[in-house]
Amino acid sequence: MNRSNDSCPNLSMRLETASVLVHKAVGAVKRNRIPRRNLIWLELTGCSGNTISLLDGFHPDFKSVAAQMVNILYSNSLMAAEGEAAMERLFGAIGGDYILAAEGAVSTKDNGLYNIIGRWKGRPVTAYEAIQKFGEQAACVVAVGTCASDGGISAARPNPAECVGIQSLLDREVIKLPGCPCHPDWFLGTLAYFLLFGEPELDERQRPLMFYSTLIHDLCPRRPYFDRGIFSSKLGEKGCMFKLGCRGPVTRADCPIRKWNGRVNWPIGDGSPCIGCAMFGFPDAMEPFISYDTT
Amino acid sequence: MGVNADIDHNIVTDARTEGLLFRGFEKMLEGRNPFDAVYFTQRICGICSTAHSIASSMALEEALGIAVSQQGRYLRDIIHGCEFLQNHIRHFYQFTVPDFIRLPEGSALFETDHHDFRLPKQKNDRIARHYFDSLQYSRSAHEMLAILGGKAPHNHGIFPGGVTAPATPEKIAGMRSLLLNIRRFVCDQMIPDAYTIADYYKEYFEIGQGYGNFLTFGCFNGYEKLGTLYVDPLESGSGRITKLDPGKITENVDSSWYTAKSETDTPYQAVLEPDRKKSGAYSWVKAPRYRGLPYEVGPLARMWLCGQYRHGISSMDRTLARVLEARKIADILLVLLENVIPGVCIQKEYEVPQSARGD
Repeated sequence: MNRSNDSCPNLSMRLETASVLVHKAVGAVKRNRIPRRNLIWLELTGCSGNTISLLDGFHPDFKSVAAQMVNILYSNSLMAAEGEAAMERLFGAIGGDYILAAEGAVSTKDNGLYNIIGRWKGRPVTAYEAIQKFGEQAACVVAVGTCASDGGISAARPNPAECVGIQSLLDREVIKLPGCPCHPDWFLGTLAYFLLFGEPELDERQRPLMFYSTLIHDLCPRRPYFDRGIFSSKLGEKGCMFKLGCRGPVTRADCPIRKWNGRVNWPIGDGSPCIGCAMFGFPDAMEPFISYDTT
Repeated sequence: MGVNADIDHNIVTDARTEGLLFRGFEKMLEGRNPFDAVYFTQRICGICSTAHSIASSMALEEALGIAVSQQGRYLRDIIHGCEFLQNHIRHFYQFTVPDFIRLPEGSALFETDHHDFRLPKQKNDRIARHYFDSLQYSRSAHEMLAILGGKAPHNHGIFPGGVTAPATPEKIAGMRSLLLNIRRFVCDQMIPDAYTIADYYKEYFEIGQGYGNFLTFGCFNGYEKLGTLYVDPLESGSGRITKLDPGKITENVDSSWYTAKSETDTPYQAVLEPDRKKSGAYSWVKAPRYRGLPYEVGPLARMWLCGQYRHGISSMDRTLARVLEARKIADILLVLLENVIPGVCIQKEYEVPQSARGD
């Protein structure tokens, strides 16, 4: 379980980006250099995996962020208030300053009735209504995970709930953090950067360059096998899994160095191919995930 | 999710639980490569994704006639056990505790409008501290999962045939170390905290009884060498505990937003179309029935059916059963880890026949 990649100083520095940023932001809030701003986290048409992923963060971790870096006004899963009281807190934020993090796509079918996120003053609040209302006014909107960024699994063919990524419902630009789920470092690092310096440098698909600039293929430890034409014909073998369907060559994310869950492992390290979960074509354009037709 | 309750003189006379989100996974899976289901279905839910990869793998194994080795089963079930631990710790501390314990001021996240907090300050504050302590242990359960499963949520290691990567002595030692820490937290903090809360909210043992019918598909069961470590596929209708017959399961959509050929189809037969305008319906969740009756699953059902918990059936019993099940599963994982042989991993090039069926 290799916890650090100290073979290359460039890669090591990239690994520390998120924790350094969060450490700086927490310190700046403590010393009153920047205010402790409000954060609204909306769970829309998705699986809430990004909330779970956030709780799985190591350095930086959720506890320091929730207690010190931002003031979380609303999170469906984590807040103590329920029902109307929870909705009061959500709608009470309108008119004030807040950052919006949204996970999950947005169902647009039947005027959004396929995804109701709460009831307020006697009527249902749909994901469709909520993202537009809270997205337009937010100081910054972050799409957390592939569903919010580009539709993801929620919008998979034939898209029964007519889901879309949140950008298509908002006029203002959204920062996209795809990943299925989004790695906690990608979200916390981006959030800290925004608090300290404003919007980070984004690529043409609105993803922060500090996390999404490099192809998995270009960082993959199995690349020498690819280069020498040594390919696996089944899962669990040592060789390159390109012929089995690995999407590393088309996926931009830093999984090979950052890895997951405290840097203990990652899909390719576990003998299974990358399925391109952080890309805009996921899942339809990335399928079949596994193919044994390796001729 | 939502709950609508009709209340008359402080008594709930009717209640409707509503599932208010629909995506249509069954429809999405049609036409896709069968193996993709193992990764695809995990995205049904981020807190229990592992369960879906296991169900998909088992269905594919049945359909394709793939045998799982015992080592493959152990590794897969260890991954599943890690998910259970993560799930139970978060369910208790992040979802249940805030209803009974006053959490610290200063964060909007913990403000609540209800005032029924009964624990004396010292006990309250101790459990509030554990709310924050628990974050590292549930995170640790996912770290343990990722050692074998690649990442969490939405793991990669589970696949038809068992798992994709073998265990190594280093992985086993690392997992054991994490597991012992988690187990210690469960035994020394989580279980006492649940019983402390139960002491001050005793009437919760009298409410939420439900129908009293329990069912389980089995859990950590039927190992060749180890036998059943937890519970076999069983059900407890009509006061007796008998073997589960999955053929008796139907899905009722009377009150669900679907149009169906007939009102009670088996899951395999059902051909449903979403219909948000269906009159009388109030939820996207179908009503599964066993022999036509509502049955309960989950920690209380499993603990009851194997005889490990018989205190009672109620809202509070469900919480106690959950924390006790966490300890049970931690113990089972220790056994499984003892029996893992490093370096064993069986994966093949699997073929998909023209047609097949697996449940």
